[in-house]
Amino acid sequence: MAELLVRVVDKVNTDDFYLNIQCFKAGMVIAVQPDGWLWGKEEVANPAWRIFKVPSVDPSQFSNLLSPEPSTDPGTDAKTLQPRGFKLSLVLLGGALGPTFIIDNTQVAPNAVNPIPALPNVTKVGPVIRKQCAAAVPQATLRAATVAVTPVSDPNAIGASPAHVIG
Amino acid sequence: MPTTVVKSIGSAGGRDYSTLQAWNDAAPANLVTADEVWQGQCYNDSEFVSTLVQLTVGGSTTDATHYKELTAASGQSFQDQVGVRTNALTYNTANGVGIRSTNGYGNGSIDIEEDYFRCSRVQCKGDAGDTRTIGGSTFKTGWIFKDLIIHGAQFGQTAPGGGKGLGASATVINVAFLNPQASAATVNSTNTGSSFIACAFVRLTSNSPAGHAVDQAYAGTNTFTMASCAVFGFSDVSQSGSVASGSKNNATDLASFPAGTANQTSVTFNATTPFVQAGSSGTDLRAIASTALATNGFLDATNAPNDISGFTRPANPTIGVWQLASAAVTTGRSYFL
Repeated sequence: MAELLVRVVDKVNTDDFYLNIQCFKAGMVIAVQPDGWLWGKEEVANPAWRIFKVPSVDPSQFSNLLSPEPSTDPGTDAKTLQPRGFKLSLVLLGGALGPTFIIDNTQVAPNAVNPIPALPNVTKVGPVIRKQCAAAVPQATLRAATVAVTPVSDPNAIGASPAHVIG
Repeated sequence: MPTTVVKSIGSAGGRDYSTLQAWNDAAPANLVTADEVWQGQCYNDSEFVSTLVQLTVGGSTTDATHYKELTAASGQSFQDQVGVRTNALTYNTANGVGIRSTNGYGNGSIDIEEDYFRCSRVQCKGDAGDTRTIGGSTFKTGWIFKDLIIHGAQFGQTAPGGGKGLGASATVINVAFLNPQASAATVNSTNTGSSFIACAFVRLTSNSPAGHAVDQAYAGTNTFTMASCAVFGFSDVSQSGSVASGSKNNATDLASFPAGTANQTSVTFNATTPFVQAGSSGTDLRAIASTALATNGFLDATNAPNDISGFTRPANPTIGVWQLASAAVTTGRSYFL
């Protein structure tokens, strides 16, 4: 079984177009670890992240979700390549898991009986916030929710858009 | 005065983050307006190892006083060990935090895509094939690397091809580079104004001499400075016109050093001199006594008052990362902050 740390809201840099591309967006997988991984305090509690478990799949099977957007032109600058070439459709995942888990960042695990053992590294301040999904995500569901990121055009590159074509 | 926000990174449980990438993703999008230095302190709970890039540093607005820094927590670096003066100077996770890539070709462990990133007090290794470790795929500026053990090639460049590397005005201090590759350059530099201070560039004797120590793009236009560096096992230091005239007090087995003053040349180089072991087995880049490296270095009291082990350098230091000493007395550790 693998455990995926996934961002569920866009991180945005409003000051720089290229740095904004480097920010992880909703659906991008931050890390994949084996079952039982001891996630850090802030990995469990950060409201922008969720942790999904995928049964019967080795973490090595998720390399596509951890790889950067590939360049289609190795000779050109990589400034518009995104940190992940694939991401998870949260709409499709929400349909499988129930939308509340992804949308609500104050929620607790969706099951009434939380099978996750008490995490010693969670400091309880106010309501317990569990970003770890108690219900495992079937591999087929994850695969169906995997989509390629949309390439970003460079507004400063001539020819990247019709407005920049000379002639 | 920026606030340094310290976060712990390790796999033992109880850390702030268990993964390097989560540490980056949690950083503010604008460290300048947040007035922060975002510092990740790694713990040697287990080796950071993957076949994929473990950390892409990017997304944040930074400047020279507001940046991200990856380092080792107190007690977790190879520098902090009681046996630091007797341990072999080579990649060994028994001695401290290690970050290793098992990728057969390209990308390494850390990909830097923003300016002013700093990294210190860790070891990094590229295991197989391309042996890349740390670098970037776009032109950046102001990186600072200090007190590192790097076992690999093409430092500064993440992806094969594309000609990217250290970027402009990078500063590299007390870094021991062990290059296991047959001919690939140790460092890829792509812009001007970089400085190498008290570093060691060594290619394994089994592959020597071959290639550049530093592969500099646009040589003649772009230059870098070397001071008190040891460069051994290469066909040349770099392309013609790359080494700035302000370079000084370096040592090499080559018959000449391309520029600068007070350089030691034609220094004998084999598996057991001037380093303890530069062969393919049991490598150890500590300097040995009674060679041209001893007392011929340049003391940069601002950037490199101590050697890679934390030992205080005298006014006439040993060239390279390791300060020879008659008495093994250690002093302070060289944190950035």
